[in-house]
Amino acid sequence: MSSRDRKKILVPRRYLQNIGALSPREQLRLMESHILVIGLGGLGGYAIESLARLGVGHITGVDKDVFEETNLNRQLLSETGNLGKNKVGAARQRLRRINPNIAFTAITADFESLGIEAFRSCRLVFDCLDNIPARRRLARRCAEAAVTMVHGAIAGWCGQIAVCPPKSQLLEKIYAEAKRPYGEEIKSGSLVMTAAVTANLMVAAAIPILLGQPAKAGLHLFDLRDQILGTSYHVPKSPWLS
Amino acid sequence: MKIQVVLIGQFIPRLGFSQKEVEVPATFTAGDLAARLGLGEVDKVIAKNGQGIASGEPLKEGDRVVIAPIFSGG
Repeated sequence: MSSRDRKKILVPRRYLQNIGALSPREQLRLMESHILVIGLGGLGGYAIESLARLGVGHITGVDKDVFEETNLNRQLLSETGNLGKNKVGAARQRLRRINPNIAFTAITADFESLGIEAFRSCRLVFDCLDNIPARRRLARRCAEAAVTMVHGAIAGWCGQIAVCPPKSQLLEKIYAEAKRPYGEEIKSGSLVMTAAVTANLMVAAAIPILLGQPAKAGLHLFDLRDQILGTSYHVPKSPWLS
Repeated sequence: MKIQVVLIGQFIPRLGFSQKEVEVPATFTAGDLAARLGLGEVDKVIAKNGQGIASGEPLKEGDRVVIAPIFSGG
């Protein structure tokens, strides 16, 4: 921390443990940032948790769905007590408990019902959706609004994140060979560790952009078992799965 | 030329390695490399040196190419 920062910026106590990794000036910049998070399921739930704890000042969360029992294995916002309730409402309640100092705009709707201004008014859009056609439509919408999209997707132990500046057409490259609306997750499911890691990598990729660095296109693919844990592959044969 | 290949997910048990240096002709594209590995007809995503690329992208000596199945879960 520079002495200049120390003199001029009083950091709220709740963010003191951010300081060091972030300067007080950078913390202030996060507090002035606005992120639009599309999808509040496995990825979106963890993403808004970290964005709120970091102190990103304004988060808009968009999801039209309600919680189902199959969400409980990985979605941070899902609980046995809120099955059948909308995800946006759970997000609002949780963020209020975590950090009442930030603004959370809750939108229970399909992202496609949002006007272009909703995209233009934020610094970044998080793609936390769960199917390829919707992701493609979101990428086109972000390109139209000239806003950078941070993409995340998971399947089993594997995930990917991508920073997609508006003119990069990166998402089209990622899904160029996708012939179906879903990927490998249809076979391998979606694990909570993968959702948490991927969402937080999305947040980590977003922070430098929020702090003023230019958004540079990039794709990071990872396999938690092989690259992170170094464990060998033992895939049990399930007689009921082909 | 030598290319560093990194596989992800189900491609690892399928091909029996997760990382390997492979020798390919200098004219090879990413798609040619995937076909050589037996992944030509499989739905996949390819990254070269941290950038998402199309199959027709040319390769050069020392490139690090990551090949993964399609992921879209959230």
